[in-house]
Amino acid sequence: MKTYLAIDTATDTLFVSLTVSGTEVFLYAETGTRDHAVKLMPTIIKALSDHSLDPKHLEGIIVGVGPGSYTGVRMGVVVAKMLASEWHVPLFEVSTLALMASGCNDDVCGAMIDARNDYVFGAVYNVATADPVVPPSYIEKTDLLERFPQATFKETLMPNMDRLLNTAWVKAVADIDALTPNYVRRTKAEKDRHDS
Amino acid sequence: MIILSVETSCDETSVAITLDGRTVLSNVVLSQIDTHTLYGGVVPEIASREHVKGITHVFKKALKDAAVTAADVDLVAVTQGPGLIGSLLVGINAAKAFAYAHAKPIIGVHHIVGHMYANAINQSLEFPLLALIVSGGHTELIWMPSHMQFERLGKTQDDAIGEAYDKVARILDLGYPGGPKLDALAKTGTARFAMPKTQLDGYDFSYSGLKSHVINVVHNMAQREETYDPADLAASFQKAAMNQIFEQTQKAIKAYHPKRLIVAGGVAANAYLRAHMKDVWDVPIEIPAFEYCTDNAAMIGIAAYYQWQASPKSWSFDFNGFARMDFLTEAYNKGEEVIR
Ligand SMILES: [Zn+2]
Repeated sequence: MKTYLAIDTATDTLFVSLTVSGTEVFLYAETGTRDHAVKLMPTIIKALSDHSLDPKHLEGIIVGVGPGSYTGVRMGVVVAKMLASEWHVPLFEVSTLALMASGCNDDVCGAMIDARNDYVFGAVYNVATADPVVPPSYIEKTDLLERFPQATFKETLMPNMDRLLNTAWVKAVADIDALTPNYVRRTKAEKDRHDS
Repeated sequence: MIILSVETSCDETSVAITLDGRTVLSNVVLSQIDTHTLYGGVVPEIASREHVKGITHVFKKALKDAAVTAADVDLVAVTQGPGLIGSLLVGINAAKAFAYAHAKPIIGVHHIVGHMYANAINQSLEFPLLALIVSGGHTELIWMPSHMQFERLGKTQDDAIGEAYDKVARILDLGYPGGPKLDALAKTGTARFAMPKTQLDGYDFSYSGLKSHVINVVHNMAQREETYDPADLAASFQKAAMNQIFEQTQKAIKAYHPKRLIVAGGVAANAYLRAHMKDVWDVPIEIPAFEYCTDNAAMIGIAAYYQWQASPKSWSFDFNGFARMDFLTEAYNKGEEVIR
């Protein structure tokens, strides 16, 4: 019975969704408030309490692992890891870019998140199979658009939960403690050290 | 009362279980020191990434080491600030999720209040007391008439003492972490360099003049191609830096007559300070065990106990973390939730 809590905090949209028995009963997707630290837990609590859902009935928690805002994505990942660990509920990860692309109805869909200086975090997916044609990358925006002139690129996060739960978009996390965000980029300090 | 506490304000991922604001049942500290040593200092983004890697494991280990289950926990406490915001938010979100998962109350604790309460581990604090806080971010004298009541007598006008240690260590090319390395090197040298004495108002401190002087000495000797023993320079700096601490604190002891002086913060681990303080300060001194001087979650759990006594109600789940945060506010003195 498909009952899932889904969270993504990697973009400026705070996304919390609750699907009970295959039907999305709670959706919070507010953009631009930049206060995920304040709203994340209260929104999760509201989702579960509004529907009096006992966490032990969750089939899984799905978390967007980025790329996107480093500070942002960590919050969702940490909360998902902790809730899954403490409730003994399976954890599933999905790229934030895949979450975005899942909301698109074309055959080939892309997603991008502004990463400043004409760069984006971008990916392109075959929507029917969830196969990444271009995996999540840090890439020049014009480069990505030129390579896929026909593709639709989603730039906001409004996932299609039905598609996510019924095709191969999400993958089970074997070691919950070890899960970290997919930052895509190394930190500047790591890069400088590597280059020197 | 069993408290699970979380501390991630800088580069240590730590969770502790404490009992009744006194006994430490477990105190797990996952240090990132090896990682940051590669970069010569704490890299905030790397620190945050490391916290995410370690956090759930550290929670589990703290409970296991204390032989306590989540159900036994009465209160969850977490460092709210000050500190590196990305790092703080990992601990805060982890603590909130844990508290929610087990339907436990949660409160935020000020990092420096935690450092002060490291002195209440295994003993009772005697009031009124004077607290000397010496760390990488703070150099302050705080008057405490009773639990959770704070009045600032003095603070640094520029650099914190730990910050000055780190900068001088960098000039002397001692590597990371600079403070403890400088302390160790100074032990082998003689304080033969003259250091400036800063004129200070009241109970304030100042370290930028001393730091600049050391920089100038090093540059001038380099220009004249003079050789010198860095240990002597380290010893000279350390003596001058600590003399300021000794003198200003003694001035406050004479004026306020505290029952105790408590020393807190990372620099409380300094060997020179520990060796000489009893000769200078004319009052019974409390200083935490070495392991509770550096950042750890146990001190947050001890402070949380007294904060809960002052105001036994759970914060709502929308509290934020703050990179900069003063604890000398009326709200904090009452143990209430700090919104800003
Ligand atoms: Zn500290």
